Amino acid sequence: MANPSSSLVDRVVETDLLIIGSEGAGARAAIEAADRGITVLVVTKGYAGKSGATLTAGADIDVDSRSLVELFDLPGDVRDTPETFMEDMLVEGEYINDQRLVAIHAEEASARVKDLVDWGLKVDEMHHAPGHRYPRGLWVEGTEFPRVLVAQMKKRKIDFLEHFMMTDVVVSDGQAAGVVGVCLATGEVLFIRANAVILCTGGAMRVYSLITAPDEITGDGMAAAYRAGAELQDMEFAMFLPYCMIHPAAVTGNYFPYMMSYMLDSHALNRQGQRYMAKWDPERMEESTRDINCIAAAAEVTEGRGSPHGGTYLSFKHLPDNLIDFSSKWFPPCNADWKEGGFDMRDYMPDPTKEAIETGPCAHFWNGGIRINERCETNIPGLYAAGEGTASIHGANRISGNALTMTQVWGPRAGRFASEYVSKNKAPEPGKDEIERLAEKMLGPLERSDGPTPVELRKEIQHQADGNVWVVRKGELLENALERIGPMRGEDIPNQATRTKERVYNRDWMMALENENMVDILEMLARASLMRTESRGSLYRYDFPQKDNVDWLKNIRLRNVDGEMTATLFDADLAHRTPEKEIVAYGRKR
Amino acid sequence: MEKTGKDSIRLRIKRDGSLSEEAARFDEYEVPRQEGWTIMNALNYIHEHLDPSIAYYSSCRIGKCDACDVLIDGAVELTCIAKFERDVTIEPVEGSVLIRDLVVDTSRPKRRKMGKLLGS
Ligand SMILES: Cc1cc2nc3c(=O)[nH]c(=O)nc-3n(C[C@H](O)[C@H](O)[C@H](O)COP(=O)(O)OP(=O)(O)OC[C@H]3O[C@@H](n4cnc5c(N)ncnc54)[C@H](O)[C@@H]3O)c2cc1C
Ligand code: FES
Repeated sequence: MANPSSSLVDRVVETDLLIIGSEGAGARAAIEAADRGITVLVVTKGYAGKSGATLTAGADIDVDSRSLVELFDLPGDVRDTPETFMEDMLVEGEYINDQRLVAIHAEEASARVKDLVDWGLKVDEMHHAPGHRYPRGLWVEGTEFPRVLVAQMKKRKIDFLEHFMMTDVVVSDGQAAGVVGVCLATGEVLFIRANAVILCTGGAMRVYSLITAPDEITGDGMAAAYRAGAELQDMEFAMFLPYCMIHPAAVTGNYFPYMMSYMLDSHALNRQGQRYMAKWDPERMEESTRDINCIAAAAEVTEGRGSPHGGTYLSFKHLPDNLIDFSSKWFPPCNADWKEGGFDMRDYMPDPTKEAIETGPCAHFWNGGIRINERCETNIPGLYAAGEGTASIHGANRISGNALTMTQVWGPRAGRFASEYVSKNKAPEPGKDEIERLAEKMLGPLERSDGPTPVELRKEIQHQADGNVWVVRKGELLENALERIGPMRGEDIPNQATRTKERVYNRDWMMALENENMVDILEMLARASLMRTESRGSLYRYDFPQKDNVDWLKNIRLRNVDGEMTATLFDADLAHRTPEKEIVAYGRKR
Repeated sequence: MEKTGKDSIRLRIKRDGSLSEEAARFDEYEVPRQEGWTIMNALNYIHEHLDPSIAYYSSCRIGKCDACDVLIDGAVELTCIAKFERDVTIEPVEGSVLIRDLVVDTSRPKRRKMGKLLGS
C-alpha cells in the first residue's frame, strides 16, 4: 500500500495482527492466530528461523515428569504433577513470580510441547537438571525449533517480512495501532498499521560485552514498549551463565566449558588455585545453582583474584586423561567430539588434561521484561507480549529448561487472546504528527554529519554495564552508572551520527537505533538493581547480601511517565504458596 | 593473491550496492593478524576501524544460525567460524537476490515479499 501517512514514511503496510519476532514465541503466536483465521504478518530483524536465541539453545525444554511418561513415552517419574512443577518454579524464582501465571504455565506446558513433537520435533533424550525435583527436561537441538516452526508457518502461508527492525510502537488514543521501523534490506522507513501487536523480541543481553546470546538481542521490544507507556517488571534480574569462554575473540560467550562442568566433576579455581565455591556452597560446590556459581566467580574477580582476562579457572586436571578423552564420546550429540555449534573447541581451548580453562559468567537470559497478565496483555490495549523479555513466570530466576517452555506456552496464548481482540477491535488511525516524530527520530543519525558514532556509544553502554551493573552489584557503582546514563540518554543518543549515509543495510544505522533501546534497558536494569536493597535469585548486592522475605516479597515495576523513569513497588502475587517471612543468607532457597 | 607481511592479513571483499546502483567492485583491507580470530572478528574490525559502509550479517556467532555464509576463495563458509589465518577473497553466496555487499535475501517466498515492498 502506498499513501504514506507522513512525508518521511516510504511505505505503509497493513495487517490485522502484527507479530514482532519470528522464533520460539513469535512463530507459535503466528501459528495460533492463523489457525483462528486472522491475517497475520510476522516481522523479524534477521532471517526467519535464522535469528534470535531459540535456535542457539542446546537445549532442555521442560514439562512435568508425569507427562514425560504419559505423553512422550520417556522414563519420567509419575509422582510429579503440574503442581510440583509450579512449586519448583516458585522456589527457584524465590516467590516473586506471578503465581497465577506460573500455575497456568505448569498446567499447559506438556500439551504445547506435545504439539511440537506431533509436528516432527526430534527429541534426543531426557535430562534431570538442578532445581527440578523430578527429571523434566526433553533434550532437543535448538535448531529443531525453527525447522519445525518455519515449516508450520509456511504450511499456513503466513506472511513474513525479514530484515525489518521495529523501532517504536505506535499508540493512538491509548491503543496500539502498529509500529514504525526500518526495512534494512531496502532502507525504507515503514509504518505497519495493525489492530494489535505482539512483541516477541526476546531479551537484552547485548547490553553486556560478554554474552551467550546472538548479536541482535538488544532489548528492542522491551524498550519500545517502555517508551510507549507499558509497564516493565523484574528488570534487575538479568541472568548469567557460569563457565563460558571469555577468550579468545572467536569463542567469547561460547558455553562449552559450562557443558563440561555440567557433565563432569569440575574444580572452579581463583588465581591462587583455591576452590572458591567452598565459601558459597560448601556442600554442592560447583554443582550449586547457576546464579551462585556466577556470583562466586564474579566476587573473586571483583576482589582481585581473577584470571588474566577477567574470569576464573575451570579445571578438570584432577580427572584421569582417559576419562576426559572418553567424555567426548558420550556428551549429548550437539557437544560430542568437542563440538559446540560449528566450532571444534580443541582449536580454541587449552587441553583440559593439562591446563585449566579461563571462563567467566556471560549474560544469558532476561528474567524480567514487559509485564503481562494471563492473557498476555500489557497495560496498553492491543499491545501483547510473549516469550523472553516478558515479566511473569520466572520471578528472581528461571529454572533450567523453562525458557523454551515459556515460548511454547505463552506464544500460543498471546496468539489466541490477540486474535480474539482483533476480531472485536479496530485500532484508531494514528495522528500524522506522531508517525512523523518517530520517523524523524529514526532518520536523525543518517542526517547528522557530526556527533557520537554508534560504535563509540555501543562501547560506552557495554563499558557501563560490564563495569557498574555486572553480576555482583553495589549501590555506589549503580549510582555511577546512572550518572553516566543521564547524559547518554539526553545528549549522546539524540545526537548520534552514522559514519556512512547509505540506507541499505547500514550497520552504523542499525547500531544507532539499537543503542537507544540499550540505554533504556541499562537504565531500567540499574534503577531496579539500586532500588532492591537485598540479594535474591540472579541479583546479588554486595552491600545487601541477605535475602529479605520480610520486606522484599515485592516486584519493582518501571514506567515512562512524561520521559521520566518511575519505579514503584508492588506486593508479589502469593496466590498459591507463601514462603517463611524471614531474613536469610543469600542462596538459601528451600 | 600476493602474500602480505606476517603482521597483517589482507581481505579482498566484493562490494556491491545492488539497490543503490553502485557498480560492483573489490575493496581490499589490511587487518592486523590476531590469534584466535574468525573472519567475523575481522569484518567487525573493518566496520569499526576501516570502512563503516561494509554490509554483512551476524547473529549467533557460533555457526548455528547458518545465516552468515559467504564465499571464501570460492567455497561456501560461515564467517563466524571460518579461521582468520590467511589472505582471502570474500564474495556473497550465489543464487540469491543480493541486498548489499555480503548480505543476500535467501529464499524465494521472501524474495517475492521483498519485491512487493519495493513496488517491483
Ligand atoms: C546459548 C543459549 C542457550 C540456551 N539454552 C536453553 C535451554 O537449554 N533451555 C531453555 O529453556 N532455554 C535456553 N535458552 C533460552 C531460550 O533459548 C530463549 O529464552 C528463547 O528461545 C527465547 O525465544 P523468543 O522467541 O522469546 O526470542 P528469540 O528466539 O530471541 O527471538 C527473538 C526474535 O525477535 C526478533 N527481533 C528482535 N528485535 C527486533 C526488532 N527490533 N524488530 C524486529 N524483530 C526483532 C529477532 O530477529 C528474533 O526473530 C538458551 C539461550 C541461549 C542464548
Ligand atoms: S552468525 Fe550464525 S552461523 Fe554465523
